[in-house]
Amino acid sequence: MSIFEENLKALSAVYPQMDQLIKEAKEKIEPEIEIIEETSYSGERIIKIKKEDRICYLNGKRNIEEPAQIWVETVGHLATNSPVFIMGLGNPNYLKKLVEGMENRIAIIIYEPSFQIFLDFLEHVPLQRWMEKHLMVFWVKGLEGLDDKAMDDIIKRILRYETLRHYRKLILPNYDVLFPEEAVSFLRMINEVTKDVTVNYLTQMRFANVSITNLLDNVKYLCDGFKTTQLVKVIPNDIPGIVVAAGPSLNKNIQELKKAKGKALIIAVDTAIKPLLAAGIIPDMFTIVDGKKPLDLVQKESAKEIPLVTAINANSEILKYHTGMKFFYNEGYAIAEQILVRADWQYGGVDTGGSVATSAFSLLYKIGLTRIILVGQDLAFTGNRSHADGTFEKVMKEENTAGFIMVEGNVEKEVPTTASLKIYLEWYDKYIEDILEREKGCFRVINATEGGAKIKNTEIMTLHDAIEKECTKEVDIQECLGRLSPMLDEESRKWAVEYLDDIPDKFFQLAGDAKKAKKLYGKLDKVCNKRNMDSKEYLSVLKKIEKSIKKIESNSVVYQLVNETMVGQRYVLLAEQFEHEDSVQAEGKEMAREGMIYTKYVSEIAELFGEYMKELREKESLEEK
Amino acid sequence: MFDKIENLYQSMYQISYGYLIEQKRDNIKLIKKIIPQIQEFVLWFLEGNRFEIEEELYQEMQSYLLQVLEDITNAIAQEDRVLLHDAVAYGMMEYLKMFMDSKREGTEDVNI
Repeated sequence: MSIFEENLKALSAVYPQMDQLIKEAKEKIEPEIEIIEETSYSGERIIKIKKEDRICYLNGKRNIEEPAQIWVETVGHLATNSPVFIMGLGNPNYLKKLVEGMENRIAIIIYEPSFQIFLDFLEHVPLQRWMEKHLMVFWVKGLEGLDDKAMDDIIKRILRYETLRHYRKLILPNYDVLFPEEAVSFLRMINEVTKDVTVNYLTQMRFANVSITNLLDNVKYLCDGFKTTQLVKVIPNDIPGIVVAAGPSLNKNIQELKKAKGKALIIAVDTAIKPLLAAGIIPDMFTIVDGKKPLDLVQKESAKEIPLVTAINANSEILKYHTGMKFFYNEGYAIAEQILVRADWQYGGVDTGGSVATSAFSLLYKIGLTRIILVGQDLAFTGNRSHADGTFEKVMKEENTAGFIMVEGNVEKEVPTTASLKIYLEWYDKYIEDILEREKGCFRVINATEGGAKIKNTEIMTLHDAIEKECTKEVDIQECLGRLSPMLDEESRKWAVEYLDDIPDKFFQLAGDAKKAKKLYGKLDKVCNKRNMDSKEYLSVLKKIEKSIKKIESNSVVYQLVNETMVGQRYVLLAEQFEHEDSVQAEGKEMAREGMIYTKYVSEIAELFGEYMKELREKESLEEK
Repeated sequence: MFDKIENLYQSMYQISYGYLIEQKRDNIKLIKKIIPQIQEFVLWFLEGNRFEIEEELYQEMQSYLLQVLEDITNAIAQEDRVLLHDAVAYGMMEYLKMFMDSKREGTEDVNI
């Protein structure tokens, strides 16, 4: 069997069908480069690449080993599961030295922008033993199913917050010369994922405590609530959707919105509610996502009955104050999913994009609207103001924007913005680009903000013109919504109430299981403290621990909530997992220490939540009576 | 000339260090700046067999040095960082080191 055939076998053992994909691509792909073989001064095979007018070596001809050897030495010791991203296989020495030099099993993610070089590599470098030693993921341009989007998902799975400080990346020399665009996109993808991972972590840290208590407070509303996916049934898709955000430019054209009433689906963000009502405009719906948004922003009698689109963990005070229809989307909380799946309607989520306006935008797209008009979506401090008048203050004050990031504007050449607003701006750029690709251009976004930052792929228009051109059909949104019944029928509702009554016991069960697991970790510590450790006993305790942890994790409805509350603790423990101990005994002791801390937190938090939910259910039951 | 050789060696060492250890990819720009010094050394070496090396070996060394110089020139023209590093670190610097070593040996002799 040739090296190539052996490699195909090894690859398809780990990635089923990969051999087939490679064979198919081999037939289809047009050569873009020429691979020229040479022999180094010491007799090894080396290659150089001819691309257009340029010829570049991928290996040196005088010393093919040292650059790769030194790179691996600079990488140093890598803990188990540390991710290493490499662009390029044209010089296999880098991969060889890395694979051979790392004792712990690491995750090597290889991006090869040339299918021809990938084939050349498969023909000359035996992979099987390397793939047995480490996790190797190949991402090859031109190979079906391994496009940038697939890679983005893989990187997200591998690059978690706890692995961030352990990851390494390398672009093989001359790949940045031969494949400059691919090199930039490779780096950008990694950088974007690291940025997202960090932002998510910080957001989780910020919201961890309020988020879960809000969720426990709000989950009861699901019993009589609606799902966002129900909107598809009743909202005609030939009308435009208008997202009204609360950026400073809303001051300029808020009055125009009156003309759009009854001719579009107008959805406002929470902060825009007060200025809209003050201007005599009642939006068709409004939306909240933030667990910490103050009630004061929407505390108006006339806001109470406006249909609300909400995250299940949004500020519970607002949900309590609001008495109208409540629409929920699926955010992946098992406790809510159990109820959502009982509803006889499809399973659906919204891409939040991190802000209330981006989630409103995503909602309008997901319910099938093909024209979306943005209003007050500045994503910048237009006129040095953060929000429209009438939001946080009657007249918003000017702020000092010196030192802010400057971005291209819709009206002004440049506008000042903050790092977090820029993340939302980038989200819009990418999200709209993806939609346009998916919908093959049958989707339009009109930015009628009349100020603020420029969003790519949007048509810039005044709100006056946008309404005149797009809002041409009459529609009664309240009549449409009135046709909907709550997502749960009577029988499912009864089931849901009983299910929620049972939640406190689930928490107490979890607390009990965590206490048992803590005892087992204590036992593990004792076993490891003995001078002559009994390895049989050690393995037996480990097995019991594994069983016990599985039991804890199987209680997913409540374990997920406890786990999310422990963001900080979880990070510390997960990051420590990557540190290496010298002996099995030392590792066992460390495992016991971490396990005892973790299970202690789990049992304490589960107990607290159990008590909280018990009181809540008793109070709700009394109120109902 | 020996001081010049030592300076040239130091410059090349820094560039190669950046390439290998810090993964810097600016060796073309930096080597371009020291091309006059490289040319001066090559001419000096080719001008005569100053160390009275065996003639056949000297001819081979001349030819190899010209090959190194050609690789450096091609690498700059093609923006080929791999070839440039290879020619500089494992070609030119080996030559420079040889003269530095011989100078050191000479110094040691005097001291002795």
